This record gives sequence, structure tokens and C-alpha cells, in this order.
Amino acid sequence: MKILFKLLVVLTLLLLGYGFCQAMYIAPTEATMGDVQRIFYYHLPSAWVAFLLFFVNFLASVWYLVRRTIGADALALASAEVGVSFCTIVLITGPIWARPIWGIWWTWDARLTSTLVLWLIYVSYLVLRHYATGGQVPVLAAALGIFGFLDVPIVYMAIRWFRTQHPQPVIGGGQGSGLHPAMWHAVLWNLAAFAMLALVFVLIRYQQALQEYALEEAHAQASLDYETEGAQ
Amino acid sequence: MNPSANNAYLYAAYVVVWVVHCVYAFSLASRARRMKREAGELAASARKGVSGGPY
Amino acid sequence: MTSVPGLWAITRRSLVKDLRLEWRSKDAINSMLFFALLVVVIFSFGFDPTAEESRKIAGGLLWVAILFATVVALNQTWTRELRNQVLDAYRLSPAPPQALFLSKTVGNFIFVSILEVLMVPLFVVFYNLRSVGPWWQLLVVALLATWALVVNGTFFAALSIRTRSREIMLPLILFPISIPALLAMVDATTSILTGDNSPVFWMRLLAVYDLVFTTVGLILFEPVLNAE
Repeated sequence: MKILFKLLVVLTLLLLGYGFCQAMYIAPTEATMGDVQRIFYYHLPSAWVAFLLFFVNFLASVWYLVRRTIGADALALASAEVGVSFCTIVLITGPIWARPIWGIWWTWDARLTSTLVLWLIYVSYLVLRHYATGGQVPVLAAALGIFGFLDVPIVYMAIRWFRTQHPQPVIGGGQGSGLHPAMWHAVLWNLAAFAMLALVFVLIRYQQALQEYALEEAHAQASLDYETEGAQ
Repeated sequence: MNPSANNAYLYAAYVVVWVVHCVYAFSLASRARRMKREAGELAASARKGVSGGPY
Repeated sequence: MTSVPGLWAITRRSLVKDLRLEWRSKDAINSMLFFALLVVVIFSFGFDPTAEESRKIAGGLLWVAILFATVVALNQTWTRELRNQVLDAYRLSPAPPQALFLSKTVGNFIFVSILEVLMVPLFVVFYNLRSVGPWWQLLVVALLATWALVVNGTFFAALSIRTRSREIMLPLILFPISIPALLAMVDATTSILTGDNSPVFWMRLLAVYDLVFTTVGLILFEPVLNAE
């Protein structure tokens, strides 16, 4: 099992390395935007991975409410944390890309704004998990995870319509519009690389979540033993 | 706008990506260390038995 | 799943009990009314627009003010339940938890509506508002919007009752989820006031939002109530 994991890590590092080469060197330079456009090869895959992770959180939350297995809750926590981490990257690289190209750091365009709201929702999920007390936190968090994910399409629709009424520059043009095939390679290799990285992180965090539960129980057991012993 | 002058932004973006991932990886590592230590302490106190008193 | 008449009867009874309690104590509603008034006045100091500008921003200001008043009100209602250990009584009773959720939500809806009835005329006066669009559209938006805030607010107020730093936890959890509804209610109101755009899409969005989250809230309320 551990060997398998180590292999996974090695594969991930290799993919990340190759993805970097693809993004920086192999992919052709974009005609109008120049080399800055290469941010796209990290920005877009990170966004897709983040969305995927939040979907996993949704599934894990539903599974937890139905079956109440600790593993589902651990997966929900892990996927939310890693998802927020990737989402943060999307939100920072977006403006860094927008600034030299369009002269502005931020625009309330549909995709970037939806991503911001998504980020806010899952940060609030993590806030609930870290600050709520009591043994039923997983149930409450699962409910929030479900609410949050169901909100996502509504958020997107709302902001899309808002932008139709108040048009402003769109970051990145249409998704994949006019992408040269060699550029698609860079996107896909980095998608694979970041998906693997996300998998590695989630596996580790999942493991740690289970361990935390075990430790908590061991602590409780230890103090119980101490109480009983001390009473003699 | 000179395209190659924007390369600073490109490098900044890539740095950000790796910094965020490293920070997260570091948080995972420190949690692992903390839990290992806790587990060790728990095991030690269990071995010591209650006569060792609270630690 | 209990029969529908049973659910409504219990909901109504619970709601009546809540309203009667509220009327007798009057503490929450009085302080809330004053709070709402303060918010309107302070916002008016902050923004001193011309008649044309005021129509553009009044929608946003009004709904933000109502949002804050709602959060304060929501924390109140659940705290009272917790204090009187009513939650435990509900858990033990055979009454369906959906009835509790509905009655709480309707109760909060009435509560916030009373606040709005106070705040809206004040806004109109302070900003010399005159709407281009028809007032009944504003009423529909207000009904849909208030329900949107209150249905999720009630649910999350129940969630956050068991957390540390409870008072800050509710808005932290509630606001992100409510963003599309907030966008819709503000833009709908502004569209109607200025007459610049059609509010129909926003009203539809609010209706969808209300439907989705009322349903999800009803489904998920049972596991939440029974949590510890």
C-alpha cells in the first residue's frame, strides 16, 4: 500500500515536471498576449480540479448523511480543504493574468465572480468545521456542503445574467476559443498533473482525518481510564 | 505593451501556484508530526499506567 | 412521512405559539425595530445622493440593511428556544421536524416583514424615492426576497446554535450561500425603481432559489435537529 502511494507521488512529480515543460517551453507563444498567456496552463486546470473536488465534497456529504460512515466525512473534509487551496490559486492567477492583458486586476465577469462565490462558500464550510464544537459537526457540515454545491448553478446563472445586463471585458475569451491544438496538449498535461497532485493531497488529508478521529477517541478513552483508576 | 515585459507577471503567477501548494503540503506535514507526537505521548502514558499520575 | 394536514396543523400551532410568545415579551421586536431604524438613518448619513442616483443605489442599500437586521433577528429566535430547552422537547415529541422548520421560517418571515414595513417607508422618505416601475412588482420581489433570506437564515441559525462564536458564525455561513439571491433582489429592485431593465429574470431566479432551498431545507432539517 505504501509502495503504491510512493509510486503515485513519484508519478505526480513527474507529471508536474512535464506539465511545466509543456506550459513554459513546448506550447507555442500566443500571438496577441505573448508569454504571459502561459499562466492559462496553470489557471484553467486548477479551476477544473477545484470544481471536481467540490463535487467530490458534495457526494461525500450526501453519502455521509445517508450512511453516517466516518470515511465519508473524512473525504468531505479533505476534498473541501484541497478544493479551497486550488480555488485560491485560480483566484490569484486570474487577476495576475488579467492585469497585464486587460489593464485591470479584477472584473466582475461571470466566471471569475462565480469562482469567488464558490471560494466563499467553501471557506465558510471550513470555518464551520474548524469552529463548531460537538460530536455532530460532520452532520452540520454535510448539510452545508450540500447547500453550497446546489447553490453553484444558481450562482453561475445569476452572475451570467448580471453580466449580460452590465457587460464588461471577459477574462480569457470564450473557454477554449481558438486554442491551438498544441496548447490543448499543455492544458491536458497540466490537468493530469494537478489532478494527480489533488489526489495525493486528498489521500494524505483523508488519512489524517481518520487518524484525528482515532486520536480523539484514544484521548477520551485514556481520560476515562484515568478517572476509573483514580476513583479506586 | 511589450509582451516580454509581462514575463514578470508570468513568473509571479507560477510562483504563487507553487507557494500555495507548498504551504498546504507543509500544513499536512506539520499535522502529521503533531499527531505522531500525540500518539507517542498517549502510548507512553498508557504504558506508564495511572500510577504515573497526570503528565 | 406524516400526512399533509397533520403537518400544517402542527406548523400552525407552533407558529401561533411563537407569535404569542413574541407579542407577550415584545423584547425582540422592539429592539429589532429600533435597530432597523438606526441602520436606515446611518446609511442615509453615509450616502447623500441626488434623486436620479438614489434610485440606482437604494435597492442595494435597502437589502443590505434588511440582511443585517435579519441576521440579528434570526439569532434571537433560536437563542430563545435554546434557553428554554424547547429544542429537546421538540426532539422528543412525535411531531415531524419539518413542522418546526416551517413554523420557525414563517415566524421569521412575518418578523422580518414587519421590519421591512418600517424600513421601506423610511428609505422612501430619506431618499425621496419615486419608483418608475409598478409597486406591485416591488411587493412580489420583497416577498420572494424575504423568503429567500429567511428560509436559509432559519436553517443556518439552527446550524450555528451549537458552535463557538455563534453570533458571527451565522452571517459567515449565510452570506456566501445567499449571494445569488442578494444579487437578484438588489438588481430586481433597482430595475423596477429605475425602469432601466426588466426584473423578470431576477424574479424567476428568486423563485427558483426559494423553491430549491425550501425543499432542501425541509429534507435536511431532520438530521440537523437531531444532531446532538
